[in-house]
Amino acid sequence: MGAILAFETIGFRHGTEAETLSNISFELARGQIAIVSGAAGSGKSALAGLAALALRPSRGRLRMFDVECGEARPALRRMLRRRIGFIGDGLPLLPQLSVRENVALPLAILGVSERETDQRIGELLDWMALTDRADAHPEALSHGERDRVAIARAVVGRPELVVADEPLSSPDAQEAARVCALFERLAELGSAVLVTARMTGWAAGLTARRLRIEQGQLL
Amino acid sequence: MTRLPALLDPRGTGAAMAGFALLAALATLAAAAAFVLGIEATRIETMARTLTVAVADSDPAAQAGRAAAVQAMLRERRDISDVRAVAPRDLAPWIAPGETHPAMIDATLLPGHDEHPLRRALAGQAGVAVFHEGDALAPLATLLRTLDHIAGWIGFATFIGMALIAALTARARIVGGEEALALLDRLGASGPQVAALVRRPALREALFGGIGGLLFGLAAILFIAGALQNADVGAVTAVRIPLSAWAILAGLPPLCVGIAVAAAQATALAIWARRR
Repeated sequence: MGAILAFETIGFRHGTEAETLSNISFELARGQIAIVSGAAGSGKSALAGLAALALRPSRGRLRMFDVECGEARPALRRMLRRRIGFIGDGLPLLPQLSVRENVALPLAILGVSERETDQRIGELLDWMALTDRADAHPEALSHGERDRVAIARAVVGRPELVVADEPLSSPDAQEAARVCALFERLAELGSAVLVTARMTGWAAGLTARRLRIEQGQLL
Repeated sequence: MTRLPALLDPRGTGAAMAGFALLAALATLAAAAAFVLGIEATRIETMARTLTVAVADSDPAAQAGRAAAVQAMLRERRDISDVRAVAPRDLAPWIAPGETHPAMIDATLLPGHDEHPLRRALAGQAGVAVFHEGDALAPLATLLRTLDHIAGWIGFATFIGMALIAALTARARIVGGEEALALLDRLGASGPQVAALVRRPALREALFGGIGGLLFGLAAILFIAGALQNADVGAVTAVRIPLSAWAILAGLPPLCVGIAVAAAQATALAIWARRR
């Protein structure tokens, strides 16, 4: 199994502030799930942001899909982002679009045919128990439903890497089981899944590599 | 292929469409004016460069022979573009039937040549006189040519204006759609995909604005043409736009659309490329 994502002595700081992440090194292989847990402010979101190519490392080497992408140009970073599914606060649902349209956005960017788009969205909304809400707009959804729409949008393009930063805002057992099953299914299909979360009890049943981050350092 | 939905705020459509209509009307008028003034300026420039050579002889047969010789000599000259014997019917208003008159030959100088070499060449010939009454039209020809150029520049400026409207509208939409743009950036959208978001509204606004402006401009042209034809405007004898020029005027809306779409897309691509 080749590494999809490789951090090598990565450091990250916002501007001139102290480093949020220091000497982060780890690899994530195809079909692997990794859960990084840590307290608030420990650097989880920065780690997820780097893995989703939303942030650039201050030092170290970041390799993704066998491409050196720490200093990659914006156009290359955008091309690589098409292969990543990101779930997190940085990517809100667009209020002017329905659930179906929000979920279809990555497919439009990937240039998927309308027929295949309809098919994939139908299956995914069914899986995420959102079929009845397909034409609703985000403001009409509950927190849990919004989480599921964001997850559906992240995975609809069958990304090779899924980065989930606190994917569930208020997980109940049914929701957690659904999301864990989805991540396991994605891993079976060959995707790598990186989950960062403060509380990871909801993912206790997930077969995953477990890492802990404290004060910007992986333990 | 699934297209990105209309993610950007459509505000400003009415203002952009009105701007395109106004400029398209102005472009139509400027183009029509340029055509008419160009044709008129060329006609009057030709008249201003035309000299009349009169060949007189008491023997009509000898006069005809000498006139033919002068015509042949004029055709040989490299500073003359056109030689034409004035037909008797053209002299009819001034000459009574049966009255004898000199043979008249119109000779048009090529642009940039003066009349003195021709006058010198004909000076030694008895019974030959050269008249250059058209010289008085030269200032009018210059004025019409200047107005023709001004109309052309106004037409060009309207296209710059259309490009500016399209670019500013696209920029406003992109700045106003920051949330959607940030999301597209994170999802890995390409420059052409983002450009498509501003292309569709720009195309619609420029097309409808351009057609509206063209129709308004054509109505104004017909009104002005009618007014000029009813008035006695002297040297400007008739306002006639050739068929080919009407075809060019009909091409203004597509041109308007092309300029608007190109400007909107270029703006979107430039903004997207600067985004890191």
